[in-house]
Amino acid sequence: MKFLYSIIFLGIVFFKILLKRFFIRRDEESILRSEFEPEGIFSIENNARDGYASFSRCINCGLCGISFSPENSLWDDPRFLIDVISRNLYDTNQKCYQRNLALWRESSEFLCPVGVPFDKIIEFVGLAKKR
Amino acid sequence: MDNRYDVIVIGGGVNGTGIARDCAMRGIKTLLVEKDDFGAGTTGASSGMIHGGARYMLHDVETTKKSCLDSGYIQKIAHHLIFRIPFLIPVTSREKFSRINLNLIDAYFEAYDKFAVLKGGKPHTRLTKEQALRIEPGLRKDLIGAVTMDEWGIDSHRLCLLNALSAREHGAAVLKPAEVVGFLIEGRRAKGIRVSDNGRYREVFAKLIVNASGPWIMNLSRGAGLDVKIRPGKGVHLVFERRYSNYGVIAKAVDGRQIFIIPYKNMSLLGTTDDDYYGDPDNQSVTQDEVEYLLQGMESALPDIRNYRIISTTSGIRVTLFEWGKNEDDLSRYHRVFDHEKVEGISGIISIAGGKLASYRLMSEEATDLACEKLGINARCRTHLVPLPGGEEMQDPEEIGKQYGIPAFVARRLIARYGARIHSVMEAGDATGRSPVCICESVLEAEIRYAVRKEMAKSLLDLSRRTGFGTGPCHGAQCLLRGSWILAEELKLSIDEMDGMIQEFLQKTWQKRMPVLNYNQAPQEEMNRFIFQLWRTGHGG
Amino acid sequence: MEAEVIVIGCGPAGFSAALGASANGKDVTVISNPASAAGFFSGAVFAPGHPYKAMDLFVDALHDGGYTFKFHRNETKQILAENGGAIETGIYSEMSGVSETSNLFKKRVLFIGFENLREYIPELICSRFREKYPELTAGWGVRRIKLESIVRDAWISKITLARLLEEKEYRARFIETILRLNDIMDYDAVIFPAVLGIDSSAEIFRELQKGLKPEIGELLSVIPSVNGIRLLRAIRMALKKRGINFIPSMGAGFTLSGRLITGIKIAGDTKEIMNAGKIIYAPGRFIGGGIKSGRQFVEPLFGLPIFNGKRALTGYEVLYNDSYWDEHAGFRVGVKVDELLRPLNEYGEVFLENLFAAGSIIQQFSGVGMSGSVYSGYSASQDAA
Repeated sequence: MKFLYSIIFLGIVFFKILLKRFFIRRDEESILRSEFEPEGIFSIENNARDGYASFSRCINCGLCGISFSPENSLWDDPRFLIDVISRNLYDTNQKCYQRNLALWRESSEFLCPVGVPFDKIIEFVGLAKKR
Repeated sequence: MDNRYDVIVIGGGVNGTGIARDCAMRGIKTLLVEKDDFGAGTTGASSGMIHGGARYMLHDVETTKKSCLDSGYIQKIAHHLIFRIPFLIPVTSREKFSRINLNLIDAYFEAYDKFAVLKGGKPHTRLTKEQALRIEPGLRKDLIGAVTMDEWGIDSHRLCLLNALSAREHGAAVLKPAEVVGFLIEGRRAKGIRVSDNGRYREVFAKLIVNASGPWIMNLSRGAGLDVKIRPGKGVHLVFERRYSNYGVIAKAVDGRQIFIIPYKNMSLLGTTDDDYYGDPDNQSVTQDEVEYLLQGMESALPDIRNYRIISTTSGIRVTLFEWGKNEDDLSRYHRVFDHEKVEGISGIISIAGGKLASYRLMSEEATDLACEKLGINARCRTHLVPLPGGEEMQDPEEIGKQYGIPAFVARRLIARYGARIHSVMEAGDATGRSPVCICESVLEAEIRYAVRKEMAKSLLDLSRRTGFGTGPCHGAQCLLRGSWILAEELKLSIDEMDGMIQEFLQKTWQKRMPVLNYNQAPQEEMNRFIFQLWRTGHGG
Repeated sequence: MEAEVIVIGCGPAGFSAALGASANGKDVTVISNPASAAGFFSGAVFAPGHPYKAMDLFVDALHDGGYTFKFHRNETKQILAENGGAIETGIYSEMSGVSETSNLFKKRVLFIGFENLREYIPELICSRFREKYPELTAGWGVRRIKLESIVRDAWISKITLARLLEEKEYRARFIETILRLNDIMDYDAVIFPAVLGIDSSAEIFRELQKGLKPEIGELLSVIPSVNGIRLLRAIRMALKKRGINFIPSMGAGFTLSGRLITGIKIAGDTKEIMNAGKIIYAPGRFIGGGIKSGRQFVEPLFGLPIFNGKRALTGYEVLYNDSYWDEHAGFRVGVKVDELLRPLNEYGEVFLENLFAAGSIIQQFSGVGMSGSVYSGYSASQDAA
């Protein structure tokens, strides 16, 4: 009996939906974005997807620490940063993004045994900042 | 440690700890016994979502309403453990009647919206193909539309722990790790338990025993001549090392079951399976079949899934109530409290089985109500009113970050673990307490010390359940040595014991990683063997 | 572009191959991605009884490149490592010469750690050895220093410290901080983690030793390994000094004529082809990218079949055991080679006549360590083209 009621109820809602679609136009996407912008996740744009997945090559060997600068702390160590930017996805105001980017490209990229593309980090920082 | 209690709760999963908390809060003298660690069994291997039972809306509206309501309660008492997981249900043109299907799903969630309000969920939306591809670019291109809905995720290990800590704060005693090896039965009455505590056998007496031991419930009950029938259902997940989707994506596997990939903290979980399991619950492993099943299924929604790096698996056994003749998926997810006095005529013991993570508080309430009835105590349940440890007030990550000199995202992770208790955590370390030990998962030195002193952590595995230590992509390559040194300092272990702890950790996590090693994880393993070989073969002397 | 011999890969195997070929007067070009698993080098080479000619060439060239080894031919020493273990070997970094157990037992030894360097725990070394040899280590002690003058209160990694010590100003402050320890002169030996510089380690060593009475030593490094970086840079410098051509890129394909490879396509925008008469392939296993793992193991450049033991793999094997410490079949995969080190196909035949393999990509050389790579690299270079 309950099942029948549920089906009838669902049927009513079904027709309600169909009517809505024909007569009312809502911008569902902006509703979603405004209500669903989940904390900490930024939209992975298509063009960033490759760079993003290639950071997953990192095996955490720490050799890229060579390009570190003493004004910063371990939180800004490149291996941590790659992780932060691409996995933790928070807090893009790290000051060391602005410095040492050229240094990273040369020295860290020279040493990374699995080929994490350090130069893509710059692109990525830019994309992350936009959100 | 006494040897007489009013209630003994066996099992440190979410139900066991929930019951212990409820009993302790009602003033009952309680003992909680756990053989390994809180959440080490089924609860820890769950999907970590407290969802509102959308599936049962058609044939059992009451369950849906109760689940949503309870989900709302859990949010109130432990809001720091919760994080939102919005779902996307894509509808592809390959399915039959896909257009009608899309409208049906839309209608379904329109109806569900009424319940979703109870748990603070936002109303659903319906997207066209272009819109869906814009917000989730990795989806398959032959979509015709998608429907979104809202769910909540929770850290299930810490939920168990917080329940146990709360129980302790209200006067309960916790005995772990200690395994119950049998019941003390006298005639038609269960008087107590025999427990193995560090190699010594002890007898503890109680007026009532609550058996909440999950997959081990059948073995334990048989020893007392009781009959608790369950259909153990194994469920596995694959753990990806980062978020590969913006939203949780639902797909249909090859046999029509629904599987999902959800962004979970800073990782992704792909799950889940459901198979009858008759093996040893202590010794589960994920098979290649299951891995292939999940990947193949998710490929139908996210075609690039096979290119991504899988770092681990989880495997747990659902304690589903027994029904003959049904498919695993169709089994009821309802719960039941077995009153053995009524059925088998043995008093002094009750068992609990079935249920979902979302309704644990409800289950615990029912079990405790029955216990109170048997003990003749008149007290009302307050577990939905009193926050769990840490859930008292919201903390602001920016402020915490500034106060302790850590980046805001690290503060966010810490708040998600400790909530309002973060200040006592940071006090547990000295000046070096703020330095990170595990980089993948942002675990600080102070957290390790706090886990030993206040959260009953006794090994690296315990620590990894409390904080996620060593569960990131590098699996301890960077942090094991230092983490175990700090643990050894706090627990006063010898070097040999410390080495034994590391070996146990490596062995246990290896068993979880092994089935998925054929993907992009191989270079990591190669490097780890460098490290651990050196540590192992180059042994002093 | 032309060369007589192309070496793909510049780890210990590729480097040895390049040295060997160059010593025979051949025109060699090395094509390699910058880094390799050699970056994890601890400072000690396991060389159980390999013929020393290859190792001699290797050690000499690295000496030119700036990395000096101690090379004992007929005995082995036990050298301490940063994680409290000890490696028994006859070939090890000169900077670790003092840190061998027979030199440090029964002496007063100070292990220096740094507050800002959380990864290194000198107490661990002391505790390990004290538990096993209490009388021999009675004089061992630990001290922790704050490096405020260099990094204030930041936490840094070993690699960072080593690089900072390359700069004269930081070096001076560092040495001053060490010398300020008031009772340091009472010790017989002072042991540091492997952080004393990267290219200028010998210089730093000398300066530090000048101001100290006790002898100084470094430990063998664990990952993140400064000795690994020193090795990588020394390899590069040695190639430069020997005038061996180096192209920092990857192989992206090859040209074939019958059963002979005529050239290698170089990855990059220009897609040039480098022609050669002999190819030595030493890309490393998983870390170097020589073998990619998926449902099947594949070798990405030439499509060589991958073997485990005697069989070519088809993709359905179970390659890992339950125990972490076992010899896992999945880590012992590689190409199969004949006596001349030429890769074989599924039927056990050579199908590319001028292709030679060297290093950890060879299945028979899995788990042997750097000495196997050095030996195979050298052997591959010695055969007549």
